[in-house]
Amino acid sequence: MTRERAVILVALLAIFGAVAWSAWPHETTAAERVDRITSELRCVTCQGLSVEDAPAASTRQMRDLVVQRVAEGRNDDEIRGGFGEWYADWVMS
Amino acid sequence: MSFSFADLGTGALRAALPLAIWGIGAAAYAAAKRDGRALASARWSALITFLLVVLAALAMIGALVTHDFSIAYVARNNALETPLFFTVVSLWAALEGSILLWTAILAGATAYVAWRGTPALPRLATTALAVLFAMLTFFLLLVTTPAADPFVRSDIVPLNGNGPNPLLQNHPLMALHPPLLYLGYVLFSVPFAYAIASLILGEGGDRWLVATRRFALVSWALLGVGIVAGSWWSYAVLGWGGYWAWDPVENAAIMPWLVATAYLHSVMVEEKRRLLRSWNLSLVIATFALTILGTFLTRSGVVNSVHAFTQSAIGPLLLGYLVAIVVLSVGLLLWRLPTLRDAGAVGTPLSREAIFLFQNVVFVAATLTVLLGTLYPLIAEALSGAQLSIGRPYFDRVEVPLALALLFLMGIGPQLPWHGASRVTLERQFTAPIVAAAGGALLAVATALGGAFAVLTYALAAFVVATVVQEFARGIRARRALHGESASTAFANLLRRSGRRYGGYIVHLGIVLVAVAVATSQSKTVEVERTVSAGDHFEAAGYTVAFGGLRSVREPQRDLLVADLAITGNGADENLRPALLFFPNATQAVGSPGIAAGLHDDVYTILVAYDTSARSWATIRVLVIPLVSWLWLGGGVVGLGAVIAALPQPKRREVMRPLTEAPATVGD
Amino acid sequence: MPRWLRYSIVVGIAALVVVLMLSFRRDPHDIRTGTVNKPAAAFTADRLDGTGTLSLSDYAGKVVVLNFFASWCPPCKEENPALVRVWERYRTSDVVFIGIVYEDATDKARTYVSTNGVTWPTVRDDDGRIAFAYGVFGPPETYFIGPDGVIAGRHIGPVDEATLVASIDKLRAQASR
Repeated sequence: MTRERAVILVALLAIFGAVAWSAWPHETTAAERVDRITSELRCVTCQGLSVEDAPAASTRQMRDLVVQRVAEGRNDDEIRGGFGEWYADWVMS
Repeated sequence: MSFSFADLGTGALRAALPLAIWGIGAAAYAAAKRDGRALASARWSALITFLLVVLAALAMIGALVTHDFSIAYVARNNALETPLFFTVVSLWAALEGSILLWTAILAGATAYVAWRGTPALPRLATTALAVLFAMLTFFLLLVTTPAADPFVRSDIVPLNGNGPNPLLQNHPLMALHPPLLYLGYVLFSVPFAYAIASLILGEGGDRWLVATRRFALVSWALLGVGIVAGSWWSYAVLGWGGYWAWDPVENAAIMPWLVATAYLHSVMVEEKRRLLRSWNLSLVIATFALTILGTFLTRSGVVNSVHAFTQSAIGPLLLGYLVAIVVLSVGLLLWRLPTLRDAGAVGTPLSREAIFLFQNVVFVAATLTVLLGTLYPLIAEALSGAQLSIGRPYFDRVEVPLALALLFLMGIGPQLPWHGASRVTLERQFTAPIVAAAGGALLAVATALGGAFAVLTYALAAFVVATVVQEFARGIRARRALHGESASTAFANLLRRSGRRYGGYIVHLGIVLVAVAVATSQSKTVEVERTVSAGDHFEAAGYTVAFGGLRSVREPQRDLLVADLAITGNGADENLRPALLFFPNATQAVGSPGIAAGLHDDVYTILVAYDTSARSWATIRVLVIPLVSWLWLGGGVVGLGAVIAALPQPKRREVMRPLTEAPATVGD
Repeated sequence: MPRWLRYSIVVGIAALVVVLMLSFRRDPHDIRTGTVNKPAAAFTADRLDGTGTLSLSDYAGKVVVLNFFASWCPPCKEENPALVRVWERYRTSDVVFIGIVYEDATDKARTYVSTNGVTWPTVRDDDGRIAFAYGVFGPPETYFIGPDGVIAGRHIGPVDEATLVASIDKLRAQASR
């Protein structure tokens, strides 16, 4: 094996290790769960923005509701499903 | 009778229409019969049409500046108190005005081709001129029908107008972003017209492509810089701390840009290897059709969008135009297909042409998936009546891996020679970039960047930067050996004499900046929201935010409620004024963020809510967004690289030899 | 180019055109909610005038017209005269109007109510929970709840007198059957 080949191999291993390390699943915090759920709900008064992104008052209220539901210990699908019942599929993005 | 801007504008447009129609015939006759007098007639028609449309645009600006509310467009988009700057840019604040601007740019491109269009190729240029006249005729028809006539009179002349949309009178970028996008959109008409002319004439050669290369590059660059300017505008105005929302308007702009990027690369394959002829024609047609599709989607009101104009009667007209363009050009292409033979085939996958082909496939896949996501709500409703929305989760999931694949190809493409390379050469070429990539990945992990995609972005970014540096080093070394130049002279000469190639590398660096900015800002933004009283302060990512209180500010066209914030820490010492703006023509207050921009991170502050009765408290949201300014910087670098690549090169002879000979100069 | 590819390009383009043509039929602002034809969500909320609370269940068995409004919303002002007229016509019968304030400052909403002759009960919805539970996208929106407690219909945007009367009469006829 040439020197170059050895260097390339080590570098590739380092990249693989770094990516694997960062992709390793870790325990999600409540805040991360709120972020994830709200990023998949669509803001109802503004168009095309998710609840996580949009600045409108209704999205703050929606976010508060998600925070509360997460604190109550409901799972992601229950929370999303609740909004889906009110706003049909339109609200899921 | 007194002078009226409406009469002037309407008159100019009505006079331009028959001239453009005449121009189609004159140019077509000149091309068919090689008739010099017909050509001269077509040329003068083009010039006079252009001047008339410019006159109409100036008449609209005059009407806006003089607040001539007898014109409905002025009454709807201007008010007495609108500042002069935003009065002038109201020309493109709404549908009719922006179509007028579009028409003016198209008329300018037509006049340019008429007078300057490739004298070496008279038949091709004259046929392309006829095609441009035909497109110009459509837009002149549009601005002279009631659906999009910018000079329609008001039924009742109001004492004061409505004023522009609040979001559009909030930031100076409004003067830059729409015209850049329109220039990018419209200038692509020229390569398209040449491609169609080449198909009509049955000239299967590559001359159309060489003739319009620079036009394609310039319009691509304008579109790209326009997109970045647009995202900067949305960052600075919309107040949610983001710059890209996969909104239909954004998608409409990015799709032609993606296909045009594919085209700019595959053009090189056709030039060097006489391959991919019908493919390149398809890409040009697709790019142009996507510009019209984008206009249709955003101007007809069929999709929801932050900036879709209201539902309008021009929808069916634009759709008709789109269908005509697609049917005619695809028909022509299929008809001429047998004459478009490639000189051979793409050989080994480890050659530059093969990488370009992969790159093209990924770009087209990215475009099609964006198109699908944009249209899916329409398709679903047409098929099942279901109303649904496609947002960031879909686009992020699909487009991020494609973008990473493109970064990867961007790194290896320039390192591979045409026709293929040996393994030893490859190993030598890629040792340094791969080590750099490992460094990038470890840096991402060390700075606690979240997520595998962000780490991969860093690795690939370092990879690309290393390949570009290696290319420049090699070029400089070769020039020093060959011409005995100093390193800095050699660098300048590389850019000047081989601008197409080295300008292209600078574009790649700009794209890397954008990629790093997106990956970092998306994964490491810190968000803090506090309800505070005057005198309170709180921490956000090492910054101290002190709230000085709320105050009202009265301006002629609006009222402001300003929150005074002092940002200190991390070497910063700035006063920010996030505000709520109250416009008389808006239902709800419009938020305006206060931003302390920095190379390392931006402190982005928003006044979210406040005590409406006593003004004793306010809710402030603070986002600390790392590296987001690199995004605008990257856009600038892309523009700079494109300028270098588009500048005429001194002498063909001086251009660097293709890469096949270069590896010999790589030192150990 | 193989023949199948040629055909599929043509078919693909044709399909795209059809979808775009069909899209003219839809109005992107007309968005359905998931709550119509389902039992109306129960709520108890503070009255706007500060005189205690109001519960939807207090009006069980009656026809209820829920109107979401805000002082900052011009179309609300536009529809208000129609609401006032229809309210005057039905207020003595088994029909009740409830106004729900949507994203508004309480003092501004109070001023709006007093200057626009809103005499039916109005409630606050400060955290927006009522609006969510009905699937409101933005004011004005009007919901018609039958005596059976099911949401029979929804009107987006300013509502006119004819629509109000027709919807109410249909629900009253249903009740008397």
